Amino acid sequence: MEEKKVTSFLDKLKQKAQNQTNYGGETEINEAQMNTRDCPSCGAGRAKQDGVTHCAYCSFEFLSVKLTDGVYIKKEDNSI
Amino acid sequence: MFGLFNKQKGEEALPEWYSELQESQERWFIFLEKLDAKMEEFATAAIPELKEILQSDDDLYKRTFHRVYSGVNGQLSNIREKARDTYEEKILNVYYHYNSQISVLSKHHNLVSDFRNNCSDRYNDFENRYEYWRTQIEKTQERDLEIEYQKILDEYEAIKNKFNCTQCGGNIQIEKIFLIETYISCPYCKTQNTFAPSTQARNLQHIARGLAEQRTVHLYEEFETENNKERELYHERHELGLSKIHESDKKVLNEIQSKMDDLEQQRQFVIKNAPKLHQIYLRAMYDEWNKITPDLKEHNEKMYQNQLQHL
Amino acid sequence: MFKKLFGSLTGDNKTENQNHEAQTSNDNFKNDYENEDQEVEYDPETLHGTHYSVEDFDNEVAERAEAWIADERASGENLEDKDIQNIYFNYRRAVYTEWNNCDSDQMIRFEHANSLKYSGIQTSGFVKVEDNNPFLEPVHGVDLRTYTAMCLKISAGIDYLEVCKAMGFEPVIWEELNTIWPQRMGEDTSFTVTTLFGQYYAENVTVPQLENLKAEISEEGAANLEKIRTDRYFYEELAGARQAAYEYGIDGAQWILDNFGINIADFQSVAMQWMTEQNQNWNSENIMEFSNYQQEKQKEYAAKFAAEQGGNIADDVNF
Repeated sequence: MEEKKVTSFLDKLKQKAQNQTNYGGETEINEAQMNTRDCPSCGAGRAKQDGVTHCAYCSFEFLSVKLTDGVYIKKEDNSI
Repeated sequence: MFGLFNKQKGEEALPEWYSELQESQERWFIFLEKLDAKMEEFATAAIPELKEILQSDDDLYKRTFHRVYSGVNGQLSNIREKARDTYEEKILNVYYHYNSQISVLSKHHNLVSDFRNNCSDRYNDFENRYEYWRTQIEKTQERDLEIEYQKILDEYEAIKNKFNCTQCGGNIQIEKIFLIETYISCPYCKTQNTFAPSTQARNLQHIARGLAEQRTVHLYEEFETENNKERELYHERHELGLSKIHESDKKVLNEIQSKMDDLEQQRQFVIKNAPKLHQIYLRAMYDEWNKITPDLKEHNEKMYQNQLQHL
Repeated sequence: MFKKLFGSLTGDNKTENQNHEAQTSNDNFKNDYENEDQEVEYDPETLHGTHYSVEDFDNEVAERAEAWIADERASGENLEDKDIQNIYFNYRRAVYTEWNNCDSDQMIRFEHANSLKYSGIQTSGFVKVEDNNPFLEPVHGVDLRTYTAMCLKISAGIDYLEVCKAMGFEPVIWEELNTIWPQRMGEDTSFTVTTLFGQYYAENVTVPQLENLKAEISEEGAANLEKIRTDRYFYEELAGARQAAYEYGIDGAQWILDNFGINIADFQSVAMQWMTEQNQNWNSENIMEFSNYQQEKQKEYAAKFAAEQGGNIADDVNF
């Protein structure tokens, strides 16, 4: 009798926990990926020596920020 | 079973209110015994369930597990609150009532204070058991992070050579485990590629500290043992101090005193030594952490320096 | 009167409006301040009485503290830095209470207003920021205020990719920001970054780039949100309910969203708003009242959740 109460309580608790939707939805599990972004304005590739903020050919703005020293991005990555 | 009340035997008649105290105490003991049993029954049933749910929960944040975990702790708190409310209502109130009625000078006052002491000792026992079960339940969250780390390392080995530049098709080596997205330029055509680590690899920065702690836990335990000695030595010395009160033999008194001095010396030593052991642990833990995520080293070292200020 | 005293503290109109809201919604309590501390006039910035100078105050505290420290040392006590800090702390309280003839609430408000000066730690509602604080330098051109605005949008349920797009940068940048700003919060022992982040969060800041991104909110949700912002009792009720939900294995954030239509970002923002208000207008009686009210509500909701689950496991154990 006693035993039953504890077990049924745990069962209900589990059931309820499983049936709830996760706040913010399910998390996606992704594989590692590699992508590039061509300049949407003139179609040129984005080259290292030109920095990452602007297109070297038509000056299209890839990033509208001024880069500082971060985790992997360094201020040298600003286009000149 | 409630031996403390029996010592009154053979003395003159006990006051009539004594039976009420006795009854309350008996009820309290039985009540807590039942709560203890309930707590044990519940926790022993919940612990294997929790471990199983943690294993089977494939959500990245283990949210189903956390909901059940939080519900289990909720019941434990509910039991604890029940004990606390009952203690206040059925024990303390009775105690306050008689304590205000019976003068401290009365020869029966010790019945009142014994009542309180017995009940509160039993209550402390219950609290200790609660803490014990709470810790056991807390432990169900522990995962062997070495396994998760190994998976990340294996995944890195598997992918590090498999990417090609999206512009020219040249091979791009992934030089290390990146914690977040980053630009990687193609060594051949210099095109800026964007590399996004897998969900699993991104998790590295969140498990790194836990893994480092797991690897250095023996040093933490050494520190903790040393740190706890201070109180133990203090109490030991205090007990000896009390034993001097009823001692008149000079020789014995001197022996006690020298033991006390010795204990105090040991105590002073651990007061100085514990922070040193703490620092040894922290240094080792941060070194381990830096090995796991070298990219976080600069930040971690600042955190280490800050922590040193508070040792 | 309390508006005059505290609204002017920061010179910030927004704070003043919040105080005003609090005032109108907590009619039961607003009289508590009316007759208090009438004789003493306080500097709105430092909360020192205007009948003495800050320098005199600091000197008096130092004199008493140093005398005590010398005494302790003379009797062989080994004082550590934290003991000395404690001695100063206690004399500061003593001198302040004595010189201003005030109650402990006023003393705590004074401590909040001066926490950075005396203990090196910021207090919500009294943040003081010096120029050129390296912890507040923008990261990739994004300052703390903008970062907070982004966080608010994302925790309100807007996809981070949308937020990045509106800001005009790639997710790479967001990931850097979302690593470095939290790192700075950890490194900054004065808690300036954290406290300021909390303040912006409470103010529900936004930046022009993000203004068009609106999280979905139902009509009922909007009404409830307005209500927790203005009615502290309603806020405490939901906070208690949320806590109770967690204790019964229910995700409290999701529960609030399902039942009241308020997302976690808005809820936390309001929580911060009340906390800031509480720090600024420290009143122990009010604090007790609200905390008891929350507990009472938590119990009510706990009973409801327990019933749905067939009771608590120890229901059959009785004294």
